[in-house]
Amino acid sequence: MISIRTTINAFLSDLRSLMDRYSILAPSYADGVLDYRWISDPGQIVLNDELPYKSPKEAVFPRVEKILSIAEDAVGQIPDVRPMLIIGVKPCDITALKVLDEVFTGPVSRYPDPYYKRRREAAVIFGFGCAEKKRGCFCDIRGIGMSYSPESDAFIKLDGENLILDINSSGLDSLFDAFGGEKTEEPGRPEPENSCTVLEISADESDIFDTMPWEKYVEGCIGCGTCTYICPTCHCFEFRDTETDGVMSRYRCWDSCMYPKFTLHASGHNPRSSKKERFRQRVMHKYVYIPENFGLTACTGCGRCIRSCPGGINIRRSVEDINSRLGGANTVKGGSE
Amino acid sequence: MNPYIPFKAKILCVVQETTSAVQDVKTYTLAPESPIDFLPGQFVEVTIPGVGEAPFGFASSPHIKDTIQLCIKRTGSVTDAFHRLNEGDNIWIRGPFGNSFPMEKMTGFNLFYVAGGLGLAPLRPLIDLIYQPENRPNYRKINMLIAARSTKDFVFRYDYDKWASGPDTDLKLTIDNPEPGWDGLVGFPHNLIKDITFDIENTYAVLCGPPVMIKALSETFVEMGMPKDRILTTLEMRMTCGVGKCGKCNIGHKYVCIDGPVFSMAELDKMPKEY
Repeated sequence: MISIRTTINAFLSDLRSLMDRYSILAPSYADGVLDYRWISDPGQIVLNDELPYKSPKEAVFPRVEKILSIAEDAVGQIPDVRPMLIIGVKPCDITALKVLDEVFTGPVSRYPDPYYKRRREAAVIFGFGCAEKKRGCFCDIRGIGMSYSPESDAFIKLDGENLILDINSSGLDSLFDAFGGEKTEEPGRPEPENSCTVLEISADESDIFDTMPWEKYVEGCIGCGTCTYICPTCHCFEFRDTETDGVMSRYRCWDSCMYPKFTLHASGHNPRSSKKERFRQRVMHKYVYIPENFGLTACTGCGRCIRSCPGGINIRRSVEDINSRLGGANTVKGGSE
Repeated sequence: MNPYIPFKAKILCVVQETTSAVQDVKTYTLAPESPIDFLPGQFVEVTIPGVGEAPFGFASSPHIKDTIQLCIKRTGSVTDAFHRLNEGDNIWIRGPFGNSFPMEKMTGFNLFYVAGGLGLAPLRPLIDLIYQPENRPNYRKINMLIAARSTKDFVFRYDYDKWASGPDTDLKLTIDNPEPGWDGLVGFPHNLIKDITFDIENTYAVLCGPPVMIKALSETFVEMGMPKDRILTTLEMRMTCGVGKCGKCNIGHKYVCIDGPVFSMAELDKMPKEY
């Protein structure tokens, strides 16, 4: 593994020179809130121990994306996307990108999603670890090391005024050559050890679908959908069409399984007509259906849905309760809240 | 290949199917800009420009290559806009999507089609394809029970004589309540199939119609001794993308758009009852 040792100031200066080739998404404050934002100058980048408010999901799966236009009987081209550097991505959010990769373009996804693919391929991920767990976080019991992720293209480590960039991806030489500093060959960083039993659901869907107290878990839900909008792995969507001056445009917009109309048929029939069914869908999609279909659990333990829920819904406690009802073998030990 | 890009299809012909006050069903014959190869049971996503997109099962046989047919009941915004279109207008379609009826597995068996109302539309590609001379010898006796609320609610009635005169075929029609001059059956299909003679041991039943009909019928077929893997149906769900991504049509971990829409009762038995 190649490692670049530089200074924070030199790194930011090198990023500045890359901005004619790349857009940069990075943690940055606005109105006191740290979030991944498109920055106009690398000086705005904040690498600290706070977890950004949302994940960088919008870079590869925008909340509203034009995917089609039809004018004069012809399908129009969608403009190319600009290459992007996503800087300071926490290990939980890097893991979430793996989930989205599987769903949209993975080998068992059957229909690779061209809009996701072109953004994902245009994105270079610079990871940055957490020093301490935040309130509501449970990445540890989800088996994700908070200090490091080898799934990034490069991983940032700070050492006083210095910055060390561990390069995990090959084939990005023209990008990484743009960074000055001392390049050394280092042994690969070991994945952080995790002593916790991993929180997952190993039961079949039929074992828990009708047997768990879903109403109880979702009692406080007001159906706002915040949990799904703020989730780094949620990816459900709806199409919205507009027509202006004979040009039809189709936009892919985030949708939420927590909304009553999400599954409403034109006939009036609704397969998930109550919030019990909708919350069950949310939990089972992440902990049962995606594991069954793609082989990985679609919850990173980032805790955002728990911290943001006005109704106090807690997916971790729900999953732990499901496991305790299933019996001791599934009970997770370790991992403080 | 981009599965989200539609292509144009021109409306060649519009046929008013129902004459009842309770439902307005029309069949559209379309000429797609490029030929569309599909299998019985599959569906397309139809765009009415400026209104939206919705999924519809093919209603014509795949052996007809230049045109396709869709049978549309006016129900929501897309179907309402569809009904306002006329011959010569264009729509946009993408597909085909979904699985299909397992015609190879059904080889050598008798077939019992039961359709309720508009449920005949997704069965029609299978019915017509199996009547093709190269396919018909591969299947045995055909029973058909076509149900409608009233005589005004039948669809594809112009096909019935042709089907009834097909080789080794028994076609029956039924309506919910008696009407003057009606010489067909009266009553719900799940009550009527008990009086129809067929070889339970060697038959595939293919059902499509309202969920309440499917449920009652499949229970009756099972009670009569038919194995669940030989009772087939096709499901409807809200399917925005058609490609297993948008998260609306799943029943448990199965997606109706890519794992279905055709399922056997044996498969449905293993899935949550969330449809």
